[in-house]
Amino acid sequence: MPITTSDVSEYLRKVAEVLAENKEYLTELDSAIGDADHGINMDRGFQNVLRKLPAVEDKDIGTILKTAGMALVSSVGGASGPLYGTAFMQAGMAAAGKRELAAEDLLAILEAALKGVLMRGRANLGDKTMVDALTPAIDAMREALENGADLTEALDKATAAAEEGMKATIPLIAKKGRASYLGERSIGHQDPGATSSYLLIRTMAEMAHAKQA
Amino acid sequence: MIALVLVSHSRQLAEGVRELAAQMTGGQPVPIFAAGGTDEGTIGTSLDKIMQALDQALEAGEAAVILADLGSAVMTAQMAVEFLPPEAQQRVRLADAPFVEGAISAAATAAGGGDLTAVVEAARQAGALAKLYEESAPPASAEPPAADEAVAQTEVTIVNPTGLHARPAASFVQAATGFQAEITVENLSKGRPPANAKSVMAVLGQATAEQGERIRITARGPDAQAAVEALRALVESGFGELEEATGTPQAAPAQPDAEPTEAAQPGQTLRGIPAAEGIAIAPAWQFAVARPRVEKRRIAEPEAEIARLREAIARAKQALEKLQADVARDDAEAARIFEFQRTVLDDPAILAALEESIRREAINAEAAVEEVFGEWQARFRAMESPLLRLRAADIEDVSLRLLRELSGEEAAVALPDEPVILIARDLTPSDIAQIDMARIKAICTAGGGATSHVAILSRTRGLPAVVGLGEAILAVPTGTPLAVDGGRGLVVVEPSAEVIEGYRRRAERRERLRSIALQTREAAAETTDGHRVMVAANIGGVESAREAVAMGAEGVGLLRTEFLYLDRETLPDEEEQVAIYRAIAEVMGQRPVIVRTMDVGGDKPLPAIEQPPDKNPALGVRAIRLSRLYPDLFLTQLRAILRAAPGHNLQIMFPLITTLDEVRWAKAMVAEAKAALAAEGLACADDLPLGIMIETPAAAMKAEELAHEVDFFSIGSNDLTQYTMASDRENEHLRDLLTPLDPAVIRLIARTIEAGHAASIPVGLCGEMAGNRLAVPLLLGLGLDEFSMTAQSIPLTRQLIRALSQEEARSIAARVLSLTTAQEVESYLRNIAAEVETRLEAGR
Repeated sequence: MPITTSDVSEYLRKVAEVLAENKEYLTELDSAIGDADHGINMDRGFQNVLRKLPAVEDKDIGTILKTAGMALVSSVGGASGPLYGTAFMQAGMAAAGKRELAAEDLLAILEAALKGVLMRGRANLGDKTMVDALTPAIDAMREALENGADLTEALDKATAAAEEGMKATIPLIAKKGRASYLGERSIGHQDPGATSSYLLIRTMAEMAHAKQA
Repeated sequence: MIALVLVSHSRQLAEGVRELAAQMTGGQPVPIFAAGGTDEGTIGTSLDKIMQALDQALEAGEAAVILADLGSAVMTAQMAVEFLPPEAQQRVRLADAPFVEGAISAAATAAGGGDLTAVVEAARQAGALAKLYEESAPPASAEPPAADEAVAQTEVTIVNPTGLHARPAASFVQAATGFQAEITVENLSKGRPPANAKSVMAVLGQATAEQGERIRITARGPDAQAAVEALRALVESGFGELEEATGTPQAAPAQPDAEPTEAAQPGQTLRGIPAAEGIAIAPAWQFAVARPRVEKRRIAEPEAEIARLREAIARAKQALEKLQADVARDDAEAARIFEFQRTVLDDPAILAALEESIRREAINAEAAVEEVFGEWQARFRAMESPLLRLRAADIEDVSLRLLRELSGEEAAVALPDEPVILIARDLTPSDIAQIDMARIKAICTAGGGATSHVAILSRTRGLPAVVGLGEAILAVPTGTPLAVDGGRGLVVVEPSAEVIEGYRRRAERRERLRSIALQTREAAAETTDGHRVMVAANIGGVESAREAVAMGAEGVGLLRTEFLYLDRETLPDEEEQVAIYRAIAEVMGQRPVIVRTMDVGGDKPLPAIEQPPDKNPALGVRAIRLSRLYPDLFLTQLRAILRAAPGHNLQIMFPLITTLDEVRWAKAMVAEAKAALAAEGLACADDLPLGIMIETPAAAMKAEELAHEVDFFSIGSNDLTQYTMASDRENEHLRDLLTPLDPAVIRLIARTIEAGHAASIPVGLCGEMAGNRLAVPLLLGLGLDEFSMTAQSIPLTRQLIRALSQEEARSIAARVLSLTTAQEVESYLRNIAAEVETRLEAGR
């Protein structure tokens, strides 16, 4: 069953819900090694996405994603704004004109999003950033699809890999962002960006399950 | 000039670094814009703020360099650049540099005229330098120069008291940047290694020097010799500080509040207050009234000398009256300047002092005038009220006039044959009356504000003018080439060929637009989608009514009647007023003429009646308030208007309304006047439309209620701005606050128009704003029905309206209403105006 424009809109609404629920958790993680605003920023960003959504819901998936990206850049205020904003805008370019997505299309879109994040933030794997959750998740998804898994299964694999990647940030020294100024003191804390990335992937998997049921 | 954009997580940091960097520009107008914090003012970055700062920077400079403090600032700035059109992207670079040092270094290089690459490079290297002088720098190991390379070197002692530090260092670097040669500077007295003379960070880091210390300047490259000589001269001149410190004592008392004067450098841009739009390129010409030489003489017959003095005073008074009447024909506002001068000549204290000094000391009248007036001038200069301090200049003017009358000398003002740009400390209407304005291409003054009489007169004559330029403009020698941009308030001293070319192109463009506009003078002020508005003139007499018709005014949106009251000892009677209103109405034919009842009092006191002095004239008894205090005066004016109306299209407007009660009272007075005229059997108009000015926030807030009382509204944007922004129109320190483009003023205007339309009455606007090219699209979009302005502005305004669609204007207005600062509004509207003018020029 392909992913439709209304699935994408619903996904954005779900993410907004999940981030609202996790607002304090993310902020708490950020207060340990950053500037204690990641949860608040992500919540504000997606609330803004919700406001912009109704105007483009009948448009193609590319437009919806680009609009979400623009909404994030213009409202988040912290580093996650340009990073997630670029991710969604690149994803939107990859989905331009499409009204339906197959599993492979979603993979291509996620790859484009990750490329956007790397281009914007110039982080490497192991720098203790959102890249540490996104990269393994997309790798796992690609591998699962290549081995004949369906979308739900592939997203489950991606979620598991993202979670693992997120947890693996705990012992790392931050190399990017405000946390990098802490040096060794950043060890022992889970990266809030990797955490929100994990939540975004997990929400995708949850939706796939709900749709299958 | 390269502009800078400073992006920080913190609003305060961005602002603070902006201030710091601005200090390094040595008075050069490097445009620096701060974009700090989120839209809510919290810590973070705002895409919107960055984009706005970029827009402004690209508008103000030929290119822009961005400096950002931390990760998200960098990333958000990158995205902002990506959102620019490709042409604009070419003109922007993001500098990979430390925020504070980078900004300082970039500002200094930009001030020296460095190009985009040079400024980015300066910012980038600031980081390396910051590290360099922590470690001990390598000793001065001057590499042997290549054989074909010119090398020049000199040693010089620092003579200025502050030494080679902040500001002098900046001007040193600025001067060095202008040369191709590689230049170093080293402090020999302290034995420090040479520093790159083109980097302010390097100079400040390792080459600072105190007064009395010796420095060595070394240059390598084609212009090495010239560079060394220029820098040496700069150091020897004490970086301009010396003249400031040792200013001639004779000159000092004459201008006690003179700011330090720095001689303007070639290519330097002086920034003042934009007073009248337009561009001019011509040589400077310093206007200074020659002061007759006064010799103190003993006289034998004091009484004869006193008689001579009295005659001179009488002649001076006559001359003043004539001048006042002449100027009043053009500009009633400006003519009131003479009022004070006349009171000085009538002042018994001054007269007594003059006579006594002649009698007691047996000296000639000229010497007595110098003595007594000098004393009074000093007294006024020492006063606390700035308004009174300004009067010192009037006293000086009066004493000159008296001296001239006594000596019988004419004030000869010999203008050169070629057209010039007139420069003066300030100009009184009497100065202006002496000058053949046909030979003047622009006016620049050291003092004055945007609403000063120089500004008003220049606008009426269509001359570009910049005021408030400070002492620097007075240091420009006569004959120096200048380029003036009145709309931006800029004066370029000895402009380069490039600058001249740029100014010339803009001047030609303006001229083309104007001629397009004049050709279509008869066309209606109608948008491309058929929305019709009215373009009318503000006038102050019969002469200006003729000019209004010549410029294609569809009516008079504001007839100022003050000229009837201000220049005279007696009040105008009813017959006199009827004659004048009729004369104006006849010039205007069937076009509507809105007569504003007397807007006098406050800062325009009536000589003919006793008025308690207002401590704060703008907030005192003026306009309708004075009418209520003197109902007979008001009634006479109403009767005159009503009697002049039959056969013409006159309307009555009441100024400075703040309450409903005032409107009801004024209407009752009109009814009373009509009844009286009917009883006397005099013909009068029966159904004259009655309107009010919306020029106080109080009236704008009650526009809904007021709209039910009257037939039309006219927004007085000048006063509405002054009262909304709580800023005196005459105070030059508040000029940034005093803009009708502030969102607060715009919202009040929007509200007024909406309320008027809800009650089905037309709404006009009769301030400077109506003819302002930036404001016209906005006002059109807000739904304004009538634009009333100086006649000179009519053709272009009509053209602007004809190039826009109502739909487009509405969306412009909607966007403006969502903006939060005057700067944002201005930068947005500037882009719109440029776009519309390009469209106009493209010949459609």
